[in-house]
Amino acid sequence: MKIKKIAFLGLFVAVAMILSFLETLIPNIVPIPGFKIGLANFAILLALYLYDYKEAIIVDLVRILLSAILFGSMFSLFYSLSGAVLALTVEIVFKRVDKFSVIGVSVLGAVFHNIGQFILAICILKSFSLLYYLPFTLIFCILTGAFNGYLVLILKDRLKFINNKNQS
Amino acid sequence: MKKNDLILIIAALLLLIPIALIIIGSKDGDKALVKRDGKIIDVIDLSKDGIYTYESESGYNKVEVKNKEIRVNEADCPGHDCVNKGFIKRNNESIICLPHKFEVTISSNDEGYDVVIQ
Repeated sequence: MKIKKIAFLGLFVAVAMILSFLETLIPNIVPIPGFKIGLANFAILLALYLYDYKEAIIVDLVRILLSAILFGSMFSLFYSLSGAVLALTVEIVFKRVDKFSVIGVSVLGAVFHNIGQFILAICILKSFSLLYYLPFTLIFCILTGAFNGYLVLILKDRLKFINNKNQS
Repeated sequence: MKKNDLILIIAALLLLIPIALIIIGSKDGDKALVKRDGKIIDVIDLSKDGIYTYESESGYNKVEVKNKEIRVNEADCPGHDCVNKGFIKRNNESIICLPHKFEVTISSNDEGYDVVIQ
């Protein structure tokens, strides 16, 4: 069981890394280093729904560290982290509350990921002019968040065998 | 998919799209405020073409004004997000270089009220 779980969590990290890399190829719509449209959140959501919050936190942290080392800088590490911590907290809380399905949780996560990054950027810049871009990025991330949530919604029942305790 | 999901997405989009449209429709500005660390260090008149260089201990940004538009055309920051941003001209739009804490924000002389609600 343990080994199987480690292997699958590694697989989730790999999927998240590939998505993070794909995101770096898309031109940045906002001048925030480390600002991403949030495709990698797909793998974290999948870990959250197939396992539990602990596994999602592990996958998210490993993904952020590795993608900062491979495609980013120390600078982008903190931006990813500021968004991810807020987003994952919100996702875990709203999954517990059970008012929304995966799609709603994913959208809320994406929105708070955005807000977390903007808060940090505004603090560093000591200026609110960044807020100009917030409506555009929010519209964008709601759409990608809904898309991610929909993918996880279809996949989470088909992939249930991953976390089947009786099998091993 | 639950009903709450749809309500959340539609409500958020209904709130954000009008804001985005208002921003897109805003007028062109006629001056640019150059700020570092939140403080205004220069004001550029957008009606005159020219190239300005701003240096600090963290690095330099070269700003170019052309046809009432402004851009950062050269910088030594790691990500080059400010250069990739390209030209801007709308009121309140800005170019930001986070590694240098440098920003260029478009502003308007008539103290920019786009809409006055009475």
